[in-house]
Amino acid sequence: MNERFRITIFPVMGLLLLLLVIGQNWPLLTENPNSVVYTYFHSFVSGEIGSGYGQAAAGEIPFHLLEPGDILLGGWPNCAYGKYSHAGLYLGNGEVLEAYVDYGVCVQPLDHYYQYTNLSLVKVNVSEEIKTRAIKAGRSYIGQTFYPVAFKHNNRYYNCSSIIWKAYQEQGINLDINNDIWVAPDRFRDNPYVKVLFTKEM
Amino acid sequence: MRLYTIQLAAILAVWLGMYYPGLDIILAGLFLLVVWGEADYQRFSWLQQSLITIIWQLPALFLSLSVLLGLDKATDFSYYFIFMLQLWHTPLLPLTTVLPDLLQLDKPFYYYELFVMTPLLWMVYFLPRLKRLLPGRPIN
Repeated sequence: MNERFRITIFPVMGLLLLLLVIGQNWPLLTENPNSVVYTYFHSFVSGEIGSGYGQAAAGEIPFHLLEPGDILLGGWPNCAYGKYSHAGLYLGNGEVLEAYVDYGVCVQPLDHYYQYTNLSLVKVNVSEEIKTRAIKAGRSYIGQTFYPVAFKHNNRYYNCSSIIWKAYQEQGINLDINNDIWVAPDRFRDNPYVKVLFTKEM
Repeated sequence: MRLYTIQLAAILAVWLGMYYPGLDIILAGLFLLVVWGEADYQRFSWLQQSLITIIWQLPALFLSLSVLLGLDKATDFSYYFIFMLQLWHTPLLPLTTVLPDLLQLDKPFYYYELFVMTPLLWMVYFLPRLKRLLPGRPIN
């Protein structure tokens, strides 16, 4: 492995892969304003790059409307990839399946959703059996690696929304009508399989 | 500068390699070989090589120590520190995904591996030098 090879291999591979991935997803980047690639690209241009920030908002949240298998969305102002920066799969008994960089795919208590300024409770309109199977699938990812920009079809890296998408995808339910390379939490609201139960937005 | 170029380009290449599952693991292995090759090729003194190693992994060192010592909590962006550490170590991340998913103290095993990766890279960068110190090899 000579000196020139070592210094050029990764820049060349990076550029080549970038062209390949962009080429394969060109319509998402240019034509679909609902795609996360399009949203992120335009947010980046206007200087927004992260998940946003804000102050916890007071108020009652009707968590009792949730059934196991439903979805919670939380978000802050200035989020670069939509109104919502985070998603969780409700497991029942006050537990939510989520993913964080320091915990990987994990189970967290429901009440931390009080902190978000933007919040949605989303019902997934499928049979109880499918929801139960989706929860079982979701639980099987616990402990797996979190990666914020994980491509949704990769089985070794997950983020908060890709675990939900995958858990339902394995049951034949596609919760991403854009067929994007990533799933943004916002996509769980505009889908024929769901009904929004509650929304709180700043 | 060579190591920074390799590291930054590898972050992009390995991340995009995740789009084609399996390619990311190959690229992670290649990254280790390239780092090894860099150390084997360059003939620096102990002091020079130590300095290069520290400067090369300075971002990871700063982020790791901030998280381990809790210094990140003093900022409004504490969550981003561990986030950035993971992004910095993207070139080695695929190797952690092939290890078993173990939980230790409520944290996944790969979380702890993020802090081990900098010493691991230092080791890879120093091993060729130790190899040269073995009897029968020219020492410079």
